[in-house]
Amino acid sequence: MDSILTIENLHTQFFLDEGTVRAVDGVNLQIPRGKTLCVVGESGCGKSITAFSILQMISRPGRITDGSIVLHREEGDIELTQLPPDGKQMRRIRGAEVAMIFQEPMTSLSPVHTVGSQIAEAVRLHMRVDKREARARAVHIMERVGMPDPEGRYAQYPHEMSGGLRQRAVIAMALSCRPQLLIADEPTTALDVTIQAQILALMRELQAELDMAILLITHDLGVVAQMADEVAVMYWGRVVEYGSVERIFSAPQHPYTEALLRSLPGLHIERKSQLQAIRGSVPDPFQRLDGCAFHTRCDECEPGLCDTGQRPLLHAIETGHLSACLRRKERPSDG
Amino acid sequence: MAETLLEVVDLKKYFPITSGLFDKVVGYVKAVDGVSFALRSGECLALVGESGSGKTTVGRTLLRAYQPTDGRVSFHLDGEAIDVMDADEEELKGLRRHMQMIFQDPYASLNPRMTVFEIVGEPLLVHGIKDGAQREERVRQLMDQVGLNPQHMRRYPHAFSGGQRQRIGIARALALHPRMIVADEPVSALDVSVQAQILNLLQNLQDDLGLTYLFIAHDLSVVRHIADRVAVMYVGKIVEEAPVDALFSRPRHPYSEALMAAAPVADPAQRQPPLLLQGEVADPSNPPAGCPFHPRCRHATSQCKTEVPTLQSIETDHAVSCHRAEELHLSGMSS
Repeated sequence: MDSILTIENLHTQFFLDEGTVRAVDGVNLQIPRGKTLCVVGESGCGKSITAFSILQMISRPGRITDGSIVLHREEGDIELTQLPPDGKQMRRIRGAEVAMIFQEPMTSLSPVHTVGSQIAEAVRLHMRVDKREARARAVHIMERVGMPDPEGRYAQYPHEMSGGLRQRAVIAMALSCRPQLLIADEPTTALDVTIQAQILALMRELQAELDMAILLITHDLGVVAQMADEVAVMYWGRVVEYGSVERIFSAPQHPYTEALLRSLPGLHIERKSQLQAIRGSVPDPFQRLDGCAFHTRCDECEPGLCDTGQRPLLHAIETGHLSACLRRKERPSDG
Repeated sequence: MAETLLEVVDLKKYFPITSGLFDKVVGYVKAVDGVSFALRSGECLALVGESGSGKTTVGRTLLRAYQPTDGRVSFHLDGEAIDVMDADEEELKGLRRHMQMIFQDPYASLNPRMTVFEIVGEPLLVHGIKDGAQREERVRQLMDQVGLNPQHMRRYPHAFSGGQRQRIGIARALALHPRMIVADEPVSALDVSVQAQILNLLQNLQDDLGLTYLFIAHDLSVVRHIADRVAVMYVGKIVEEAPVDALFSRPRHPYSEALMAAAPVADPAQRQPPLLLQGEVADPSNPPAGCPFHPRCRHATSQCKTEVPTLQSIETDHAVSCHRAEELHLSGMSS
């Protein structure tokens, strides 16, 4: 597979007074070039921290304690964890090569500058153009992301815009330098479904236009089904299943993925019937668990196998489909 | 047909927009602008719509958390109709025994300095159950009923997960044996696996206690699962009201159709068609002339731009506010 980014054995930990939180606990992940990889999982599973780790935006008391993150560029590979987080190189990569958008657009926007000037500044920061050219480019990008009346909106402040327009402005800013990888952390969670559909359609269009890879972090399986080429399911700091979106939804190979899919209300479920909830809740982050981290909630847990030893690693079930469940074996290829 | 528990007639809630040093009123946000519906005993009526549609304001106004601008709300109790809007403080206190509320955010809606016993027991105290042992017994019973361990009643909210906190909120709402509960997005802040647990609990409680729900939500798959009837709101008005099956199989208002089309389906084989709702919700302080939905509607005619449609019954139990309801053939959610 042609990847834009390879994460190997990533560990990111937070050292708190109450103990150590292993937010990311051995993540292995490859982001395919020009495609959309969705990372899905419940709150606290480490999906956002994985994204923040890529851009080295982990602040104290958190730290990347182990592993590597390699960005594959035309000029050659670069190991991001070896770069000083505030150094010139890392700052160049952020925004120009790898851009990020967040759930809350105001995370990325300054309330005291006009939206247009912020987009123009992003352009100027990474491209050698004069102010007039930057402004023209900003207006053009604003138009491209579907902001009505971009000339007029240029001089507006974020508070004068709706949440949907702000998120468009943030996308405009993120894409102003044509990044090769866009990390989107729950970009539509705060938006209404109609606006969400617009933003997701926009992301798909721009991806095709810029041939850009998207790492889309979400808890919404509907969004995953609509957007993903590949899916990584995370639980308690680790990827427990990886595969194509078709396989993940039609033939999941980890009891956690199966349980997540079963718990959704939908057209295939009889109305007013009992939903199949996953029992219990995600374990306490300070806890240490032997064996598979999901064994406490798993209906298939086999005592003596699943609840002892190291956390199980991902293994191939079939080409391109990996599972960390000890009870799922490789399948003979039957086409 | 079940008897009517709550009747809402032409409810209006306008929030003043003030400006300048002396808070001169320069306009009104018509958050709720003439809403009428009846809630039948034992049913679950869902209010759906985008943010700004007024659905939350309806819930709060009919509990008199907001003072209504105009309209009539009568609560039918033991053959007697009580006027909620004209009730004085004392009558209101009596009414609130029967009408309770569950909130969206289980983190913000519980006082962090009160134990579960104090939170759940507070309504009992307010309503005259002074005896500590008696209160404790009732709290124990309530915690058991919502799936919490009664031994944890001396703990503070921070010791509980999001799903457990939502259970605490539900226990508090149930304390006084209410007839009706307004549930304002009770599962939208929760992870899917926990969402399923809470939806199951709400359904079981409804069956066991004969509760009536006004269920305010934006997630249509949740609404389809739990509700009996749905009222779709747009800019302060109900635009369609129908039984769940009728609405989802054949919506009669273009806005209902658009909401369904925008909901992401958790099936990669059913990717969204490019047909999308353009634009954003109209400004409730300055709604467009004619049908407020016409600027976004692909079926709009010149009539829609000038004449305001009214909610008309087109079938038994099915009402719609659209000039073209009879002639349009709209698609629902395919099964």
